[in-house]
Amino acid sequence: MSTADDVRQEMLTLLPRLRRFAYSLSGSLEEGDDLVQSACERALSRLDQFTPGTRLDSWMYRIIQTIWLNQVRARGRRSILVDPNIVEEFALDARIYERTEAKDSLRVIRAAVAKLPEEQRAALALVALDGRSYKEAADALGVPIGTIMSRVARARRKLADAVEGPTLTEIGLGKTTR
Amino acid sequence: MTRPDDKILMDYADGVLSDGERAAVAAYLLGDAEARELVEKYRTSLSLLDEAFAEPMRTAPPRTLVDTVLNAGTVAVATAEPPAQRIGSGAGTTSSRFILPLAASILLLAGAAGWFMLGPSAELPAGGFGIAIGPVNPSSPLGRTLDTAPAGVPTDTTGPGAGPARLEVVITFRDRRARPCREFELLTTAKERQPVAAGIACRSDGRWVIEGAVRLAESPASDRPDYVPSGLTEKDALDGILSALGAQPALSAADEKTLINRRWD
Repeated sequence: MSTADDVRQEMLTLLPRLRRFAYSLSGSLEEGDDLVQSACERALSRLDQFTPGTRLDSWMYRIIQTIWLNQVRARGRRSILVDPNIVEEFALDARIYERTEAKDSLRVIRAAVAKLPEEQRAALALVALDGRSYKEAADALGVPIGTIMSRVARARRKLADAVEGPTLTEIGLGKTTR
Repeated sequence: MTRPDDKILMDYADGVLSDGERAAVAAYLLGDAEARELVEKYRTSLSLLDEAFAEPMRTAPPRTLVDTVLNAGTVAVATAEPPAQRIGSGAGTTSSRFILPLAASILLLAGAAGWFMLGPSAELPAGGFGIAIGPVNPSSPLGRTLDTAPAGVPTDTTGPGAGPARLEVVITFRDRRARPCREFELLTTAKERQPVAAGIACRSDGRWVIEGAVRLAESPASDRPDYVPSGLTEKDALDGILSALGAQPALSAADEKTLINRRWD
């Protein structure tokens, strides 16, 4: 099998993770899938730029991130996502909070992720969502390890602050079936 | 002890501190309710984050995406690598006519990561055990099996709502990047020990990461509307994952034992 076939096969197995990364960057499943589509097309048209044996996932993450940031700049705003007031609204009323369903706590987290600066969101997505090590994330995003560590720490602190109180713990940990 | 900084509390919440560090932080937390609450928020927000963006890990990718990967691009890389040596199947290199159904098999993820992956706090999906791509919690049954069990020696375990199950490592090998990898099976039901799912996890920066997984048991397609029956055996799907990883021949029992004793470093 040629190297191109190897790459295509590995890219197939990477699709779920690439889709998740793009989903977390853009805040939208559909837009995320468009991002992955563009990234795969770009990567496959530039296979000569990929060194066989190096990490395909890092290369793909970087392409996805590049395409996303270009779109963001072109649009002039950070994401297409949801009402950022949602976080403040829940913080203000503990009784609403207690009746909140699991679905809403997920919206709160998505909103918190959408509010993150782009570079923190990408670092969070690779380390906390995809389980990459700091080094792998640093290689994928082309920044020093220390930078990744501080971005992830700041992002996770913001997400932690978006979570309020023990009641959310009870309703947020997947005990409600979807 | 002074209040540990946020990073330490975060690491404590994630369970990645050394035994000594963990004990010290635990002792400190007994006297600091605010820090305890922050630790809890770190845990909760991480679980929610995982759940909030889990959809792509639970559904097969859109057909258009798969088609793009298979057909887009016209530039062929000049050098052809020698085919990776295959383990187990003896069927030879996967030819391209199998790639589309292979994709459907490889990408068939059995739902949310289950109890065997994440530990007691995760919910099992109705109707089956889940195995998902991604890092394995080292204190979960799968994590412990991958860390300590030799190939062919099963671990019997029970999950809440899951009934008795058995985890077994099938084979240990290195991939093209020389990372230690292990193919494992999850078998369930007390009587028949039917294999339910199988996967391959590789060692990546000090942890196990599931690189690919397939559902093995016959299950009704009706509970997964996005399921595309491949017409191929799951063994072919596993072979596909092995090929994608560039799997080298299986390690000897002695080499495997050395890796286990060295905690896979």
